[in-house]
Parts: sequence; C-alpha cells; structure tokens
Amino acid sequence: MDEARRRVSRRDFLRLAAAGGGAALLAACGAPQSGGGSASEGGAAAEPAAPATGGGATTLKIFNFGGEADQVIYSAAYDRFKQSHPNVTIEDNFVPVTTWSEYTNKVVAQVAGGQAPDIINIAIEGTRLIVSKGLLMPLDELLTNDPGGKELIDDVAQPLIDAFKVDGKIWQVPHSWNNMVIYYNTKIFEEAGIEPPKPDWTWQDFLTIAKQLTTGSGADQVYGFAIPNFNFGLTPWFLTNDTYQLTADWSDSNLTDPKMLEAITFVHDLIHVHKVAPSVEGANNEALFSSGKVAMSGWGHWPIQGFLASEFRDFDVQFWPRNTKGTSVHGVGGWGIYAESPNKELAWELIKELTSKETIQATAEAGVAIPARRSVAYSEAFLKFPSNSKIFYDSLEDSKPVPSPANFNEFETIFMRHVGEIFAGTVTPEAGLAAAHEELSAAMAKLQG
Amino acid sequence: MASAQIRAPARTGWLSKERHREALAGYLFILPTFLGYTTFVVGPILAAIGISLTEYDMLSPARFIGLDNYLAMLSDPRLRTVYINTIFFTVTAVTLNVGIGLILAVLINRRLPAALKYIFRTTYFFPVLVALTYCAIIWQFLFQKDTGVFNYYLSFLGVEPVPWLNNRQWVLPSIIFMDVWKNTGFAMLVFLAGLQNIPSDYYEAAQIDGASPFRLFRHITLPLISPTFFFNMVIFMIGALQVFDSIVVLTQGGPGDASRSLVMYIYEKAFQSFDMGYASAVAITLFVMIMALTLVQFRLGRSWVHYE
Repeated sequence: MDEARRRVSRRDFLRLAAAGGGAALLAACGAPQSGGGSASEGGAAAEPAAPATGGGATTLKIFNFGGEADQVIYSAAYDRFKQSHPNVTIEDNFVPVTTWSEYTNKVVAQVAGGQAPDIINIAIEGTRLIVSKGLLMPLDELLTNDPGGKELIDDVAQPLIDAFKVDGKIWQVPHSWNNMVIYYNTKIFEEAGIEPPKPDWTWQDFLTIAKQLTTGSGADQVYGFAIPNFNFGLTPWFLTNDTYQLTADWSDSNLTDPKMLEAITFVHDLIHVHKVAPSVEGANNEALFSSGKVAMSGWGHWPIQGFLASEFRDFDVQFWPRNTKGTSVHGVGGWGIYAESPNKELAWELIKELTSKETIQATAEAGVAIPARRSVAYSEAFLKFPSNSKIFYDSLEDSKPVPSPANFNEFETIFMRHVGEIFAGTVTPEAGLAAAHEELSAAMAKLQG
Repeated sequence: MASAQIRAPARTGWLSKERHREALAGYLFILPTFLGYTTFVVGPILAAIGISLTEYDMLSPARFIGLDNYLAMLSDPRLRTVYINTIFFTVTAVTLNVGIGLILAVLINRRLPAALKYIFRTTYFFPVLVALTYCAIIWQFLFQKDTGVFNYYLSFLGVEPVPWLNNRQWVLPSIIFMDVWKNTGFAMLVFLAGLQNIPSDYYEAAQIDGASPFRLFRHITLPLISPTFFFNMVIFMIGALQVFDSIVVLTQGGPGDASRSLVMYIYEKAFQSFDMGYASAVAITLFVMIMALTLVQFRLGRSWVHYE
C-alpha cells in the first residue's frame, strides 16, 4: 500500500494536474510548502494543503450512500488506507438512498449549505447535475497517467466509464452498478411445466408465460408478473423496443415516439387487458415475489441479499425479453472529487483504495450491486448464486445508461407522475404520454436555457 | 409573581432596584425562547419572503425577479389541484378526527370498570404512538387493490376490488381513513382530559332538575369542554394543512396529482426542480393561509369558547 502511495508523488500529482489544465485543482492544492515545482504558481489557496503523510493531520470528508453492509466494507478500506496515511482522519457521511433525485438533492443542499465534502459518491442520475454546477473535477489525467488509475480502467467495461463522461471528460470512477434483468420463480415454472426463459425470448414469449402463470383467485391468486414501477425499472421496456424516454443526446423529450406508446401500452395492458400483473400502487414486488404470489418481476442485483436472508432461493435471472432489440439499462455509481477540495491528492489516493480489487471484491460478496471490475464480476464469489449470474455483467454489452440529464430530478418526477396515471387507468396511454411530453418538453427547454 | 404582588404597595428606592433585577431576570428567562423563535421561526419566514422574490436554484446566485413567482402561481393548474386536495383533506380530516375523538372520549368517560376504561383508552390511543411511516407502509399493504387485505376480505362479501389508492375519487378518502385511524386517539385523549375536569356536581344538579342525557351533553359538557374543542380544532387544522409523510409513503401524490398535498408540491418545486423562489412563494401562501385561518378561529372562538 505504501508503494501505491509512492507511485504518485506529490510532484507527479501536480504535474498531472497541470497537464490536465486543472487550474482549480492547482489553486486548491498548490500550497507552497513542499517547494514542489509548479505548485507555487498556483499558490492562491487560502488554506494550506495538507500533506499526504507526515506533519499535519487532515480530515477527508466523504458524502456517501449505502447500507450497513457497505459501511462495513468501506471502513475496512479506510483502515487499509490509514495504514499508509496515519494522519488522515476519514469522516464518512452516510446518507440512505431512497431515490437518486433525493440523494442528489442532499448533495447539492449540503454543498450549498457550506458543508462541502472532499469525495462524493453518486450515481449517474446525479452526475450531470453536479457537473453542471461545477461540483466535480475531471479525472481523465489521473486515470490515464497514474498506473493505479490505468489498471482500474482496463478492468472496467467501457459502458461504465462512458456513463461518467460529460463533454468528453470523465468525472467519476465507477465502483459498482446495476441493471434490470428478469427474475423468475424456478419452482413456479417447474410446477407449471414451463421451460425457463431463453436469453433471446420476446415480449410475446413473455406474455404467453405470464398468462400461463396467472392462476387462482382470492388468497391463492398468483400473478405472472409484477411491474417494476419506477423510472429505471420501466426503461428496459423502452430500450427493448429500440426507444428511450429522451432523445439520444438527452436534450429533449422523446415521448411522442410511437415506439414509446407501444411499449407503455404493452405494460399498461399487462394490468388492465391481460390481467397478468397486479396494479402497481402499493404493491411490494419483493414481498410478492419471495412469497410466490408473482412468478416473475424485474430488478437489478439489489434484492438478492434480502431474498437469501429470508431463505428464498427458488429463483434465477434472465435477460429482459425483447420486442425489436435485445438490450437493457444500466445505472452506475462512482467516486468523484469535489472541485474545491483542498485535499484532492489524498482524495484520489483514497479513491484508489475504494476501487481496489480488495474493496470491490468485498462489495461483490455483500451482493448489493454488480462490481464495476470485470475480474470481480466474473469471480466465483459473485457467480455462485443465482446460477445465471453471469448475465449481469454480460448484459452490459448492448446496454444503455439510464437517461440522466442535468435535470434528472425533474425529468423523473414528470415522467413517473404521468405514467402513474396511465397505469392507474385514469388516462389512456395516448393521452398520458401526450401530457407528459408537453410538460417534459417545457422542462427540457428550460435546461437548454 | 405572587411575591411582586405582595410587595407592590411599598415601592421604595431599593425595591424598585429589585424590580429592575426581577425584570432583568424575567428577560433572561425568556431569552432562550426568544432567540430560538427568532432564529428558527421568524428568520426563516423572512428568508422565505426574500427568496420568494427571486429565481434561485441554491447553487447559482439568486436573481431578483420581483413578484413574478406570485404571478406565475395564478396560471399554475397543478397548484390549483394541490390546493383543492389540501383543503378537502383538511376539512374532512379535522371534522372526522375531532368528531370521532369527541364521541370516543364521551363513551369512555362513562362509569365503566377501570380496567375496561384503561383498555379502551390504550387501544384508541395506541396508533398515535406508532411512527407514521410504519403505519403508512402497513396501510399500503392493506389498501393494495389486487393483493391487499381489505379487498381480500371484501371479496367474501362479493364486493369488486376497490381501487383504494389508484383512483382519483378513492385516493384522498382512503388517506383520510388512515389519518383518522392514526390521529383521532390524540383528540380523544385531549377531550378526556377536558371531560375529567368537569365537576360531577353540575351533572348531579341538572339531573335532579330532570335534564335528559342530551341536554346534559349540550348544556353542560359542550360549553365546559369548549376550550378543549378549540384546542383540538386549531392543532388538527394546522397539522392537516401541512400533511406530507403519510401521503408520500402511501401514494407519492398519485395517481397523477390526485393525492398531492400543498407541502408535497412545495417540496417538489424546491428540491426536485430546484426552483427555490417559486417554492418559497407557494410556502408563503400556505403560511398566510394558516395564519389567517388560525386568527379566524380565535376570533370566532370568542363567541363559543367559554373559559372558566
């Protein structure tokens, strides 16, 4: 670990930063104390920058998300980091995530309130907003010139890195991600004598199976499918119909695309026409699935730990069914460095620890998200359950990131409010999408200024 | 206070010095409250008024735009919906919470075996003690149209599944149903305290005069608990106008805006659209409305609230 730190000396770091044109970075880091080369030129910093080791004590503040399992993993990583950086105190501010909108709000509100962190852990949904507000520094130089950064990049699939590219620059280092795949109850399938779904199954195959598996009534009612009723969870239906909520560059609404209407109508009909899915309001999909009340639903990797904890193991995963295109959606979480942080060098060192094989392996074993590192995602520990787990990383090949414009919060709110009306049956899919398009177009126009 | 009154007649030089000291002590006693009130109540209100005159997203500097936010409210159809929702919720929830709370209190306040009284009181008050979010999550499970508990039992009676939470007509009544279950116990407890303060000789005297139970209630109970009644009305009204968490958990405001409350809308504008200026302007209208309604209640109260 000491070696890793030595690999990028303070001087190297400043050179990297200067090469990257990181003027803000220089201003913040370049305290004239180690007499290090170009540092003095940028010495506008009011606060003395803390050295990586030795003399003064430094506190690294992290704005972080996750659950208890993540806290354990991170504190192990902090302990490793502290062995090589004994004078660094790490202040980890854990915030539970309910929706990405709310989490992003909290980051922004905290910075606005003068409580700026050094390191920000945030998902792609919040990236463009905080980049547009100047909260992050670009990391390209560090990732290409630092051997540690390069090693990481080589082990991560390109779509995950691209997810954090804004205006051609990389702003965050991916640590883990999620997608949407179909979960199916292997026992229900077996009992009904239905073959497990094939990787290239279609919407029609899906509907046929869902109809076959919708049985009983009253207390014995079983539904074929539970609709994942959230923006991320609905996106695969659009992508497998070769469309998206927004235009390709995320600058305008794409809700008038007839393919959007086709996809939304398909999902709407699962509730109202084919009656193979329970209505979405108040439905707890995890509970319904693990108690055998629905045969299929969709999630990323996140519910697996809960299922195992409640000793429910009769399930496996498969790619999303396709209409015109075999694909899925992904969302990525990554570490970024606050643009005004006085401790950027240390922050980068810590990020390398947080994305080290050791840390990511521990994340994979905790099982909440899919590890960003290919080597870990195909490791035995990650693949051991459910048996088809390799499709998690495989799905990245054709996958698209969840549409995440700078006004993601507004986009998601508008879209889901109208979709809620469509699924409740209070408006038709046509009318609902038209109304959503009108409102979303106005919001997107505001974003363009 | 008592000592000041005793000493009051003999005001001499050193006593007036003492009066000064007492005054100073008095001011010191109210200072924490005063500071807390100005910092956490008056300050934010003034700040909200200031922000409501700007366009402000928290990270870029605020831009003064005069009354534009207030004018924009006039042509905001969603604001009209959430106002109507909030007023409907408030009128219905306050009436039911206070009305049912009063009925329960009167029923429990009769001569019952102590154990029974205790059981009833605890049963009705219990929901008040449970965290609202837990309640809402459980009720969501009860309300679910296709897999919920209510519709499951109703199906035995041959009732078609009721769209408790996914229908514009049903959603607010469903939320009010839960709200009354959750909160009426509080009104009941306050009424019980009021009822227990009524001296029993009033009733005995009236009964000797041959008053019917209804007349006892109308002419003794009601006037004597009117301050309690008034207290409940004001507290429940303010709470209902600010309803937020239960709806967030149950429906997130949906379907569409059918169950969105004013405070949820303020939250959405402030923290989802980052439109602090508009959110503050809407918040100011809520503040003015609560203040006006409370003043009206106090004014009207003079004619029907009897303090002993």
